[in-house]
Amino acid sequence: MSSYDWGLHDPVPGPQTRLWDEADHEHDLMSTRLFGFWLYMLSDSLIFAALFTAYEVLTFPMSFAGGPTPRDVASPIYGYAETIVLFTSVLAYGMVMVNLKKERTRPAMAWLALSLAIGLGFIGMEYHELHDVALAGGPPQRSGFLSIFWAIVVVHGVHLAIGLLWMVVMLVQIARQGFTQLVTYRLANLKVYWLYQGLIWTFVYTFVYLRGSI
Amino acid sequence: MSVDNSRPADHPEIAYSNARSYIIGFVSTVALLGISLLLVQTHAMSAFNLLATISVLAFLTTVAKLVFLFHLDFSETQRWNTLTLMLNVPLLILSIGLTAWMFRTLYERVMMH
Repeated sequence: MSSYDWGLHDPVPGPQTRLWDEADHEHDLMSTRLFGFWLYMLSDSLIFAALFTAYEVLTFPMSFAGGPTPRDVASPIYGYAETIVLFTSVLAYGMVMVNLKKERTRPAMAWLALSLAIGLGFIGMEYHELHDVALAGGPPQRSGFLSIFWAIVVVHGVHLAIGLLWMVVMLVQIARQGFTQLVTYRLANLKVYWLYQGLIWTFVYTFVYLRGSI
Repeated sequence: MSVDNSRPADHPEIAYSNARSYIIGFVSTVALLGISLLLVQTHAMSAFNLLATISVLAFLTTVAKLVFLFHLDFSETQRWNTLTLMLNVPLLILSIGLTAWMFRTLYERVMMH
C-alpha cells in the first residue's frame, strides 16, 4: 500500500484503519479560513451569474426601448484600457504576495499601495465612462437594457471599492502588527478577492464591451 | 490539512506565490483579450463565429488566470479549491444557459412577430 499515492492525511486502508481521533487535535487556522473564503467567492460568482443571465435576457431589441444599444454605451477600446489598468493592479497585488512570502514588510506595503492606487484609477475610469453614458441619454431608468448594463458595471465597481477599502485596512494592519498569522491569512484572502474581480472583468469585457460591438 | 504554522509566511498557500507566474498570468490574459479586441474591431468573421471565438478566448483567459494567478491544481494544498470550483461550474452553466435558452424561445414565440 505504501507505493499508492494517498494524500498525506487520508486514512490508510487496512486492518488498523482509524476512523476517528482519540484526542483533540489543532486545526490549521489559515487553511480553514482560506477555504471558507474561497467558498464565499464561489457563491459570489452566482450573483454575477444572475446578472449575466439578466443581461442576456435584456439585450433583445425590444429591451432597448428605442434608446442606446450596447454599441453606444460600451467602447471596446476604452474597455481594453480599463482591462489593462485592472490587470496591472492585480499584478501589483501578486507582488505583495511575493514579498509577504519573503517577509519583506516595506516592499509589500509599497506594492499594496501601488495596487490600491491603480485600482482607484480603474474606479475613476469607470466613473468617467458611466458619467458620459448618463449625460448622453443613457441613465439606468431609460430602458431594460440600460438597467442591467448599469447593474453589472456598478456591482463590479462596488466589489472593487470594497476591495480598495480592504487594502487600506491591510496597510494599517501590516504597519501596526507586521505579518502575524491573522494579517497573513487576511492578505491571502484579499488576494483571492482581488484576483477574482479581475476574473469577473474578463466576462464583463468579453460579453458586454466586445459582444456589444460585434 | 495540518501543517507547521509557526511562521505564517511558510504556509503552503502563501509559499506557492512567485513573481514569474504572476507575470506570465498578466501577459497571457492581456494578450488573449487583445486578440479578442483585434478580431472584433476588424470584424474578422461573421457575427456568430466572432461571438464563438471571443467566448473561447474568454475561456482560455479564465484558465490562464486560474492556473497562473489562483495557482489551482490537484496538489494537496489546492485540490479542494479546485474541486469546489469544478462543482460550481455546472451551477453557472445551468443558471445562465437554461434561462437564456428559455427566454430566447419565449421571445421567439410571443414577442418577435
